[in-house]
Amino acid sequence: MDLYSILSHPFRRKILFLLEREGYLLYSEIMDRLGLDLTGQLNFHLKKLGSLISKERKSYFLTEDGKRILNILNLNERILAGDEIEHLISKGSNLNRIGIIVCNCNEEISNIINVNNLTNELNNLENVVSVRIFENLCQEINLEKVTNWVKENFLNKIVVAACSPKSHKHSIENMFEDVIEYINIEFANIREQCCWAHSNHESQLNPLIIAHKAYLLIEAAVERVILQGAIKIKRIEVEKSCAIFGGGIAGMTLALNLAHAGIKVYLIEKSPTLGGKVARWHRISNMGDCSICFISDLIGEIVKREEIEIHTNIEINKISGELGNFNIELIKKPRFVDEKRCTGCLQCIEVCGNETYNEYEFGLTKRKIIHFPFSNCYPYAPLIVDHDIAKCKECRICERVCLNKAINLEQKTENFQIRVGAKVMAIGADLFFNLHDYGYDPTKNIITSAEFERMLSSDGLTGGKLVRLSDNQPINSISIIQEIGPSDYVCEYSDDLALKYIEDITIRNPKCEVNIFYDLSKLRDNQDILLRYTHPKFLYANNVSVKIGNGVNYVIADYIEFPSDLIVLNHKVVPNKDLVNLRKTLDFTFDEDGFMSKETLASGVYGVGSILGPMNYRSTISSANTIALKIISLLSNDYLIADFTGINLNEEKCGLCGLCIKSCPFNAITLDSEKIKIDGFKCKGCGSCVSSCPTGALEMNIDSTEKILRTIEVFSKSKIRPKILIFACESCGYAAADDAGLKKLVYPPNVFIIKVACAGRVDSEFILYSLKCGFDGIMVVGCRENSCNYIDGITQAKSRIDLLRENFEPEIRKRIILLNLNSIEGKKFSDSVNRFHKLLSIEVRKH
Amino acid sequence: MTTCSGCISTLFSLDIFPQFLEKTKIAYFPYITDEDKIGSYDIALIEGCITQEFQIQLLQKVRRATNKIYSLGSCAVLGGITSLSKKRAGDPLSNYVEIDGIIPGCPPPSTLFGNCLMNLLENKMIKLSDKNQCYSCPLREGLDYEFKTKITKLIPNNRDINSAQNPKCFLSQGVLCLGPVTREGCDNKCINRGMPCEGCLGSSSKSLCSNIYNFLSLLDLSDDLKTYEGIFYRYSKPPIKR
Repeated sequence: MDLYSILSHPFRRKILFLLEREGYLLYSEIMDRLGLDLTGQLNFHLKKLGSLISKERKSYFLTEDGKRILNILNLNERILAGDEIEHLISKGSNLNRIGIIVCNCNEEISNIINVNNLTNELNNLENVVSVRIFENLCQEINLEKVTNWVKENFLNKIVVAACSPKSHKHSIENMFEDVIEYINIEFANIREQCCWAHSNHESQLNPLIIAHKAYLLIEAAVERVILQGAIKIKRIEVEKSCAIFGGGIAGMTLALNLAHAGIKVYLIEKSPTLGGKVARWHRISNMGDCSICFISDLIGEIVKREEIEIHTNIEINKISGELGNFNIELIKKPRFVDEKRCTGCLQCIEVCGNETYNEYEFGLTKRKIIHFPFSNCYPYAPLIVDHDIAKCKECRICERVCLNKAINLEQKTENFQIRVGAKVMAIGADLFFNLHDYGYDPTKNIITSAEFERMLSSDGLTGGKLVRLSDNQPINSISIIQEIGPSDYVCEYSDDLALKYIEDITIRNPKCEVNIFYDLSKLRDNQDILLRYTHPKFLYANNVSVKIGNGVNYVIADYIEFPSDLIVLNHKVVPNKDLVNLRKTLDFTFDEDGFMSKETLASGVYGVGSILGPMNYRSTISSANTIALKIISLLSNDYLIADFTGINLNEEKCGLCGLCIKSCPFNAITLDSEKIKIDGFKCKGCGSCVSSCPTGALEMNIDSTEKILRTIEVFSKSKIRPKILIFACESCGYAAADDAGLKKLVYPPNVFIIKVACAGRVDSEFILYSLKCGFDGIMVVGCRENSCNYIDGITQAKSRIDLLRENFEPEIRKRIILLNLNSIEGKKFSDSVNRFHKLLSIEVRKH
Repeated sequence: MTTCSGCISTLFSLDIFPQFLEKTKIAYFPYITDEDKIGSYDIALIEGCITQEFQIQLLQKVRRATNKIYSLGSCAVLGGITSLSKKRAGDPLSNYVEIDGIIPGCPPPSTLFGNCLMNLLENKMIKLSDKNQCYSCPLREGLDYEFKTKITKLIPNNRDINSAQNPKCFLSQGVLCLGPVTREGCDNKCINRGMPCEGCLGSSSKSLCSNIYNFLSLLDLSDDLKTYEGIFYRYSKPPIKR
């Protein structure tokens, strides 16, 4: 049946649709509906439709084939209409024709066990169609042989008994790419975790026992591959635009990069102007340019680009959707001045009679209530801050004086939405301001480095002159105390700043004495700091404090007093205070100092600039460039495909208790209008949610609970006691077991290893069931506690196992242990297994 | 079997019990008939758990003579209150013979019980919900998905019990409620009356015991509750000897 020639004619397609809608139609009715008047024409089409339709008692109806074809047609219609962003297609099979490949691996395996006997035994397994031995499966020369073997035997599922899936899984999956889907390939690790682990030159265990273990490993893999059902795939169309939160130097550079690549960019800034923190600085380190000139150049370029849409004075309300297609709801706060009507004539500012502290100058000067944030700001229009508006409504002079009617004191907040494919955080960082220990007081000439920048700046506090804020006298000695802040790391950034200050001070007053102090007692790795090359003016002391004197202040470094006209406290960059709130709408994790962790990038939340930690100009630009590349490559896809190989949700069973939301380390599960929703892109498939789901509504598509329980059953067939079952997490525990095999560190063969994605996947049910099946000892091997691949999977596993152990008598308690290993600790793995085995042997002998 | 006869008392007090009697012929019922020999039956409802040798033999005899066996009540389904005992914990019927269906609960809630009996009369399978208590819980609105509150109590304060409207989820009040791991189907009787769920209906997937371990390990539980056996083994025991 040539499907495409049947469907090529619109009449024939129409007949199918008609029959689908009506069920049964008479010959004459079809004629009428199609508007045909020649019977010959209809006869021809009906004949062409062949097996898709059938006739009974003069009526035509769809056959099963016809219905199936219509399904495809309908699906096409939906895709073309574009009203469905995602469609689901199935992959995998419920039919079982299983082939087993046993790899000899350069006789590494056949030297230890009798492979021929093994294959004979395997042939008796149910559903197994063919068992074949290959010399070196992983070699490419086998490709054709393997493909032919699959085709000749009509295999649809395969078990590969060879080396560890950690070493050749991907190359073997690629080998079968065209004939068998990767979900239908299971691995039995008979090399690292069987042959190599139970025999070396010194000690040779009974080969029959090893062969039996290999048999059980393969049998379990067969059972698992039988249980593998169909899985779904999700397709998401990519919205070719990007939202950047934060219009600082990082955000703007990134926006420009993306605009050059032709990507639509929404540049979203919380404050009323672009520019960020750098706009305040006197000049950029290592660059001759004054920063405000630099920023206004950058703004100028951004405004020119059509691709960039700038929104200032914005709060984020809600973010929904997933990587490739986000919907962002934004709130525009009122600035009480219409940006489009304002000409920037400054009339309103002249007439304004109310003054307040100027935040831009850190409250050291005053400004009018209606004001420009700074000269060269963008948009170039004055504004009134929200909390001042009550005062303005009483006065309203500016409103009257404005010729263009740009001032609107009744302006309301506006809500609007944007759709983007990617989102980037560029909200920068804050400065540490808890400086009481150092007697911070600008009126007494103890200021912060940020204020010092304003002092150096020619439009700033002192017009760029080095004079004391208290009495306007020239400054002849400056002490700068470095690294003041809550954490104890040393950043390159503050060194750069200090060097910049030395340069600037020398230009203004060559005779001025400058000293830069480091308090070693407050810094980590303080021995290394002493060794690095720095400027001769950098002084290191074990204790640095400030003494406030009469007219002149002193910095005391290790009991030596340095009189200083001005003390500059170089405060540290600390994580943006908005980060904690943003974590609720955007998903990312924090690093140890509280900045956004660089690891978060995978889930589609990108960060640039000092949100990731203190950065100087160069690293900011380079981070913006790197992220720009990532976003361009993401948005260059027309659609993204998420294999639902992670978690599958059965809504019939879900009771919305929310335990999965609690257990998910990646916040991939959310409650959306009384339904649990899993973000396929965020989900890493650790399975913590599956083990915490009490109703079985969540299930893993590949490592399902059923498969693991079945594997436990198969392994429990081993007769030799004590039997040990190990649940090993894929990234560390399983790799450590492989490592033990590679190093040929021998442990007893009655130890069986089950691979789980993460230790958090290990359900109490698994442990109880294995004990019931007759295992004498259970071992859960996971990652080191602070380096879990799935953030807190191992912590969850630990608290689960601890609780379980506590509720059993000591006799049972010692039969369950949890081990933290990293992937190269094969020695530790085999030692622990041997020790555990010894302990259990004694127990078994006792009873 | 070993039982407190609570389930049978509930059976007697069901409003459909007279109707049930009309449509069935009771062949063997130690409480109300004198018959003491096992004949052959269509349906057997068995209450209680297995604690002694003779009960196993009796059970197997009934199994051979009966078309369909249903376990009645938490003791028969899960092991029941005897699970608290370390040495003489009773076993659920399913450990010894094949079971065709269950009517869980301690005692089975009247609506569930009644529906199950009606289904039996019509020769249908007993349909139990796959979801958990939370799904129909009246306190769902107050559920905190972070589960941050430290759990320190097993029952709420007297004041809270008396107030008919209890707007917050027990778990966010610091009271342990096993609702999330317990099958739905009792119309949240306890919760509606101001007491947290104890889990008598068992779990809809996996064993109740392992679900309790999984669930409690996610909570911030006070130390004294961590080993309080009344939580873990009130209705079911782990498949191995503790």
